Amino acid sequence: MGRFPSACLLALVAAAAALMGCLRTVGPMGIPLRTTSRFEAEWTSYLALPPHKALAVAGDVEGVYVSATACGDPSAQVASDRALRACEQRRKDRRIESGCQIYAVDKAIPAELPAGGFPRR
Amino acid sequence: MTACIAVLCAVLLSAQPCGAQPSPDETSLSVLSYNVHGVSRFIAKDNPRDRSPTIGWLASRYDLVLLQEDFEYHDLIAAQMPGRATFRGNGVGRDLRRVAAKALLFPAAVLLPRFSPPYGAGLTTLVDARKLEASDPQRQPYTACNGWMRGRANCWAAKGFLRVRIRLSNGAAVEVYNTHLDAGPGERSKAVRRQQLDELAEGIERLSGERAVIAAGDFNCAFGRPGDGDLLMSFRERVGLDDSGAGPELPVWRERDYVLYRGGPGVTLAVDEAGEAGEFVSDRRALSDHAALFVRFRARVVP
Repeated sequence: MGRFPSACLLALVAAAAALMGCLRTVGPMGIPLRTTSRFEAEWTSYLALPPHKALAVAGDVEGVYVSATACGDPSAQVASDRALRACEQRRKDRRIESGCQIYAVDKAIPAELPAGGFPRR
Repeated sequence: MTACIAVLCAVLLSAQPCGAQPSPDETSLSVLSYNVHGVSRFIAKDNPRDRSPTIGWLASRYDLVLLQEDFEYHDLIAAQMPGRATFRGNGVGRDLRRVAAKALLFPAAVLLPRFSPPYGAGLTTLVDARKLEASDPQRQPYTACNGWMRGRANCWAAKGFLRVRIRLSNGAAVEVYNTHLDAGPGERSKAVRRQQLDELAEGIERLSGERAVIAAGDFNCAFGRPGDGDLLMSFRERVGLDDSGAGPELPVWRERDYVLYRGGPGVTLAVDEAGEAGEFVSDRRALSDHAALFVRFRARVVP
């Protein structure tokens, strides 16, 4: 192999090594956890749903919980019933002891829950 | 007093072996389902090369490991799990759009390390061959996908399901399905998921009949999202699957992954323990963008 191809080869190897070096991650391993909680995301999605709608929750939304929504229903009561039924189904799957409760009906949060906050049960 | 202690010790000593030894018809099976986000580092938010060996090392504690999205780093994960029978899902297949994309990106795939989209299913099932017999893998790609540039770019992977038959130490046979469905909250994504779940249900009916089944993976179904819960429940009811109860325990995880199961003729499956495998998260960082789910099943052979 002549001088020029050797130099080219060397340059290619050097470039590849540099590229590989650049590709190494500096810093801690892994993906940073999200800063928004699942419940915050669910609440944002819920607000965009068409009425009548309801959101039911069981468990601790800062830990293990289940939720279910219903939307596009003829009345708030129908939406609440449907959300509760779906939530109960999921609650049994996840073996959460406390029962499902309505967190919101249409855009209203029931008075006993902290307005704008999340239930902690 | 001394006599009382002696009697108590005798009772405890005689009782312990009975409690500790399971019946010969009964055995336990630990299962891990984990979407490892093993896409190219140019797509991932980090360098998966760094975390993949750790994923493999931690996963090696489980009897049965079902991975999704191990596209580019399969070798690094599998290298940490010696003594495993390894089964991979379907490849890219003959879809003309994927073949064309593969050809177009070939130069990049040659130049860039671990960059080879479009992908196959990205599914791997690893079975601890010291404890379990594994056989008869069946792979099937789904016929529909939603989005190349829009949505969640689902079509860049030929998603599908992988079936592996396992036999436990007590002789119980279980059919294990590993799957990954299309992502996205839109109506088109939901329609595709419905079709994919229909194809999975048809596959379970055709390949497994009434036999015991574990079906796990990234279903991309958010139970709380209108429509998704119904999709999942319809699928479960059609093939008679229960939910193991495994789910995310940190409040930041989205609920997308499930471990479903059913018993079959001569085999019962019960859940001893299920949840999030917390060892894959530490110090506000995780080894993937999904929660790792685990279940410890008790499998019993019944006459």
